[in-house]
Amino acid sequence: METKRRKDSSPQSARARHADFETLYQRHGREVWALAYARWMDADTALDISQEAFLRLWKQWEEGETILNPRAWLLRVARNLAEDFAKSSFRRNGTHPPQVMNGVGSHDPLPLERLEREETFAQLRGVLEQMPEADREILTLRYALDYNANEIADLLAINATAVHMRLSRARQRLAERLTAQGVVYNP
Amino acid sequence: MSQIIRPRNPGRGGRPPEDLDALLRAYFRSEMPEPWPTLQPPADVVPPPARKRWPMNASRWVLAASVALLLVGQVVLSGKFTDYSSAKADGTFQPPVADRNGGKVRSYKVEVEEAIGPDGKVVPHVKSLTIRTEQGPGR
Repeated sequence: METKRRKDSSPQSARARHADFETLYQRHGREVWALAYARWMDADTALDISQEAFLRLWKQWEEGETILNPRAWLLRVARNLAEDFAKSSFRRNGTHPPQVMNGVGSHDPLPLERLEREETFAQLRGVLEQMPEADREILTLRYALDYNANEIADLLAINATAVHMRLSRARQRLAERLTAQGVVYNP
Repeated sequence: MSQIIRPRNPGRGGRPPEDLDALLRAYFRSEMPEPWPTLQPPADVVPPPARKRWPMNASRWVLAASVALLLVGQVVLSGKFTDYSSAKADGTFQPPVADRNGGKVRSYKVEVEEAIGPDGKVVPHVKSLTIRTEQGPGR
């Protein structure tokens, strides 16, 4: 990752950095989240990882580094953070994920529709977790961010044909597994 | 996406692909934080004023002087005192030391009497000092 040193601590520069940071966060925050989510299939963990990646970017700026391609830098850092998360003691010994509470009954009656939807999503999450990370990644980018093939190709640094192929295969594998588990879905 | 249902009859198949698209879209949308949380960069940290160098140098000097004083004191004081804890009732004692010829000192006998000093005060005066030694290997 190519970076350059710069030193400018004037108030104008600080304000400009804040503005740049906000812009980058709004523009690429969801992409970074999507990659982390595809790795761990947990929205909160993905948000923690994406925010940590942005805070590291800010720290680099504060230390006088100019990052020439912030998007690529963020995506790479997020991938590394997602991998490091597997080694963290919090993951190994931390609290249980919210899904553990799915089987716990509530005294409050839930609408049937919501209950069925939650069950379907839980099954879908289970199937996705068993799929290869590359499949999850491309599905997340396609359906969470609504990216087309060209945008996905740009983000993953592959060509659009490969995106079409990978996406088609991932959908096919997912449909087979959902059918095998008896998950039915109607739009 | 309000009609996603879990089937009562899982054996049904042949769903159109747009069903899967809708399911995936609804699932990932539900997972994504909404509204997207803001992230404020941490406030600029003002570095603390640089400390003067002399306090660190002074503390180092104090430490060095203390160690030196300790070593000098140990060397000086170690030759000043003799262990009299083993003295007997007749005034003799047997310190576990060797003389300069390598012979082991068996006993000292010190006789002390009172004397009048130049200022008219009573001061102790050593009348006699008897040292009995065993002959060392150097003799």
